[in-house]
Amino acid sequence: MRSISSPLDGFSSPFGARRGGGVSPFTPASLFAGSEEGVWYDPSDLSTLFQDAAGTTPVTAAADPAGLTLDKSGNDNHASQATAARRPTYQVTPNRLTVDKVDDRLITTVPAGGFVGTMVLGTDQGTASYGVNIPAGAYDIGGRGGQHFPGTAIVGQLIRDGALTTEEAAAVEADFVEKGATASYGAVTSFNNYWQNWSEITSFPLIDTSAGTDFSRAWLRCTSLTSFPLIDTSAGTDFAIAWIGCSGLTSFPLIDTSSGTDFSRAWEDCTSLTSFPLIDTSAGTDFAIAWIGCSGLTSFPLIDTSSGTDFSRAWEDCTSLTSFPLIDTSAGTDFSRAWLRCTSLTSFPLIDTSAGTNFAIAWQDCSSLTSFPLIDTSAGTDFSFAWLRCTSLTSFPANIFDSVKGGNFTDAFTNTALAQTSIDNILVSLVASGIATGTRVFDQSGGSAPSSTGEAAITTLRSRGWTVTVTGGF
Amino acid sequence: MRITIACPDALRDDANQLAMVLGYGRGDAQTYVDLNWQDADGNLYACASLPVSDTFTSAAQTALQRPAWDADNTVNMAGAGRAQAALVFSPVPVLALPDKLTACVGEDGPVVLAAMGLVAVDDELTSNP
Repeated sequence: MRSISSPLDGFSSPFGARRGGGVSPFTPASLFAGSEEGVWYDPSDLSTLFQDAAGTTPVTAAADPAGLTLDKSGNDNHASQATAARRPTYQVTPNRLTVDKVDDRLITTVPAGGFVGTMVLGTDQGTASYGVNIPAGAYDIGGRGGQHFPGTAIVGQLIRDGALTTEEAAAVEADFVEKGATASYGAVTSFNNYWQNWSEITSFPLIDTSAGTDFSRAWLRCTSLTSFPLIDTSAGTDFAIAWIGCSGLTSFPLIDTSSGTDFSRAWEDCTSLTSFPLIDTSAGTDFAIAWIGCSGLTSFPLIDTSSGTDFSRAWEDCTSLTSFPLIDTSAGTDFSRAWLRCTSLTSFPLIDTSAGTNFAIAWQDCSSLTSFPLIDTSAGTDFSFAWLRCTSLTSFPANIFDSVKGGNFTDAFTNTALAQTSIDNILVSLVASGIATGTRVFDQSGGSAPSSTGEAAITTLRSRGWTVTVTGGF
Repeated sequence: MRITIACPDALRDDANQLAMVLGYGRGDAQTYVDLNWQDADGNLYACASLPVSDTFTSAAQTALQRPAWDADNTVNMAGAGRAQAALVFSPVPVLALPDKLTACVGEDGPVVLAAMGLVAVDDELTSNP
């Protein structure tokens, strides 16, 4: 007789199991009925828990250490911990394995071929399903390195080689919740470090993060993520280091970052991003190192950076950017290394840098820039190395340094291609600044030597204590 | 009661000998392995956090006996003794020191480590120079 399958096969009836046959309650074991590889750990089943790694002393009471948890998937991929100090602790109500987030973790050995499929993790703080690609070998259960875990206790964990359907994953989540896992992450305010270094995650679920204020380091080095869901981050203030090293992300969603103040290092080394969304960064003050190393970005949106004060290293090594938008940097004070090695930039906009004090190394190695705008440098004190090795830079405006507050131009124009008018412009402007105290160093090489106008300016500067080195050796 | 212990790099070998004496077996030789924490001066530490009995602190400070399971002299008792001599117990978090095995009482391991002046090595990420 041909059996007829139903999409409800294996799931519990909303009316409960019928006496004398009928639909059986769902059990995660059914997901391994076809000899699928994977693991299923169930702390609610005391027969699977032992205090020691050898499995000689059973766990019987709350506060017992858990040195071994048996795999209920039928694959014998048991997880153990031989070192006493690293064992999670069994607790009740609900039955769970608590981890200290210092060194606790059980270790299983993923068999040859690895697990490419789905992981369902039920914790005391939330339950979710992830796409995973776990290579063969040792795998931490309870937190990467014992430190990074989305919760403080395992209520249930299932990993199957071969993706679960949405319905199957939901059924496992429901099973874990029935056993005491918290269903939603909706009450969590700090996601700090939760998924740090979970490089096995290939997809991240649309969990409820609406209460989250701290997302710092949450997805640090989740290198296998290629996309990211539109989670609710509307309450988030701290996004520092949130997606650093997510080198597989090819796109990023338009999440709500309107409350965010700290974006420092948020997308550092997201090397596969080619574009970036117009997120709301209007409250952001710290953009230091935010997009450093995003070498795939070819454009950058006109985000609101009007509250930003620290832009140091923000776009360093964004080597594919060919243009840069006229963002509001009017509150910015630190622009050091901001565009270092943006080697593809062919032009630079007239941004408001009127509050900027530190411009050191800001445009160093922007080797495609041919001209530079008349930005406001009136508060600037440090311009050392600012345009070093801008090897195509020929045109530089007059009067740009008329009101600067400091004279550190060490190697500022070394190895550039300045035209004679441009080097004259710079030197005359430095004379106009009147700087006669503090650091007084100016270096230029490459390009043209100054004319008699520039040489006269050099003479004046030297009379004010400057050390001036220019092309031609005057 | 839970204690959280910070073991500086230089004391790891000896501290793992002590962990075997105070613990359960050879597996405890891996108690201090990963140098995942550091102090303000950049000194690295391997840390452990574990629930212990009320008698643990006194037991850890009395004369060490070779454990009964160690019939083949796996444990370097001299090393365990050196670690014991470097052991500092505190009922409240105190700063970790690079020449001491510092053990502090507290229910939340990461909180205790922070109060000991330690941060996870990943928390001090360095960018491209």
